Amino acid sequence: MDVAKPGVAVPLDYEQLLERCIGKIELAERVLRKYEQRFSEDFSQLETAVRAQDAAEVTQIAHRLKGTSANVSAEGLRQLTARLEDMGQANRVDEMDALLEELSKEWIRFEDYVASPSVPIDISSKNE
Amino acid sequence: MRILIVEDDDVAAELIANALVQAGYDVTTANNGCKALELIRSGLYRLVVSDWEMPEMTGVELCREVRLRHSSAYIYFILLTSRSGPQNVIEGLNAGADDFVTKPFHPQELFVRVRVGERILSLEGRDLTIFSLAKLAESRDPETGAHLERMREYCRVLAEHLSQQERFCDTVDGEFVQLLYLTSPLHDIGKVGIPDRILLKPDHLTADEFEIMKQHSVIGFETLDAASRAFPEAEYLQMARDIALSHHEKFNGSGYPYGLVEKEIPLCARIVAVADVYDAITTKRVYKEAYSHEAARSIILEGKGEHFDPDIVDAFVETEEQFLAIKENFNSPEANLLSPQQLCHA
Repeated sequence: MDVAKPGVAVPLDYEQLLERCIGKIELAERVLRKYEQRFSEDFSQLETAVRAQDAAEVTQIAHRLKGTSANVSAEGLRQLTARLEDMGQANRVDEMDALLEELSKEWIRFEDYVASPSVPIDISSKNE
Repeated sequence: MRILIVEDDDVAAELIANALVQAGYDVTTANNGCKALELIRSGLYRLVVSDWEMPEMTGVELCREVRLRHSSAYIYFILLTSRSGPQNVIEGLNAGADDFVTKPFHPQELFVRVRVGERILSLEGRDLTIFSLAKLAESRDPETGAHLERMREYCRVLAEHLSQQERFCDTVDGEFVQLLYLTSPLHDIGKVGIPDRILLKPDHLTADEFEIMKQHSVIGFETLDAASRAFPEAEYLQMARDIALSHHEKFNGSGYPYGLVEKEIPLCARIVAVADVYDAITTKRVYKEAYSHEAARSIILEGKGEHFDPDIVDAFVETEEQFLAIKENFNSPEANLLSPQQLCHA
C-alpha cells in the first residue's frame, strides 16, 4: 500500500540526492547510513513522545526528521514528518498514533527501495 | 574565502560543507549558534551559512548577535530556511541576514548566493579605499586635481573602443572597462613617497632627481600589492597594482622600472600610458605650459610602436574627438578637484 501522498512516486529520489552530494557516491552512501541510524533513533523517541502525549517533543523531533528527510530526498517521509510536526504544533495528540503508523510503513517502503537495484549503492555495511 | 556553516543537523552540515568544498571554499562547521559565535569572534570568517531553527540559539538570534558586535569586517550572513512568506523574510532581514537559501538546499542555488556574497564583500570599502588613496595622491600637487577625472575618462574611451575589436573583446569586457575606470586614478599613488623638492620642482629634473621620481612606480606597486595580498578576492587591487607598476614602461622595452617589452606590459598599463602622456602634454604642470591636442597627437603618433602599443595608438586616433571633448569638459573653471561623490561613483 502506498502510504505517501499522491504524486510521490518513489521513496527516495536518488538522482536528486546524488546531485546534492555533487556526484560523490561515497558521500551519498554515508549520508544514507546516517539517515537510517537517525531515523531509527528519532522514531523510537517519537513513539515515546506520542505515548506520553508530549506535543512539544513530537513537534521538535518531527521537525528535525523533516529536515533530514528533505536533505536526503526522501519525499514521502518528509511529507509525513511535516504532517506530524503540524499535528504537534496544533496539539492534536489523539491523531498522532495513526500518523506514526503511516510513518512506520513509509519507512519500510523506503528501506526496501534503498536495498533494491533501483538504488545503485550499498548502505548495508556499517562503519562499526 | 573562509565560510562558516552553522547547522545542528549533521547530515545537512556534511552535505553543505561538501558542496562548498567542491566549489573551492575553505569551510568550517559548527553545530550550534553559541559555538558559531565564538568562531565568528576570531575574525576568520567573512561569510556564514546558518540554519534558522536550532536549539540554544536560532540562526536569526545568531545573526542579530553578529550584527550587534562591532566587527572589523562585514560578515555576509545567509540563512537556510524552509520557512516561507513575507513575515519570515522580514524577520530574517530585520535581524540582519543578507540572503536566504531554501531548504532542502540545491547546490547551484547555494553557489550563486555565496558568489553574490563574495561580490558584495569585495565591494565593501572599495570605492572608499580608492577615493581615499586618490585624494591622498593629489593632495600634495593641486595642479593634478582634474587629472584623475580626465585620466579615467580617457582610459574608459580607449578600453571601450578596444572592446569592440575582435582581438580584444574577450579580454576587454565590461568588467575590465569598469575596473580600469575605477583604478586608473591610482596610477601615481606612489608619488606620495617622493619628496616635495622633486615632486613640486618647477623645472626639469636632474638625472639623479629623475631616478628618485621613477621610484614612484615601485612604491605604488608595493603599497597596492600589500593590499591585494590582504584582500585577494578584490580584483580591482590587482589591476591597480599592475597599472601603478607598469604605466611608465615603454612598448620597445626602454621604459621603467623593469624595461618590459610589448605584451609583457599589462594591457591596463599600456592603455594608461597613452592616457597619461596625452593628459601630461595637454595640461599645465609646475614645470611646463599646456600644449595643444595636435601637439599631443603628433607626439603619440611618433611614439607608436616605440613608447606606445600600436593598437592603443590606433584606438586613440579613432577616438580623439572624445578625447577633445573630455579635455574641454574638464578644463572648464568648474572642473576642479575630484569630489568624493565623483570618485565613489563607478
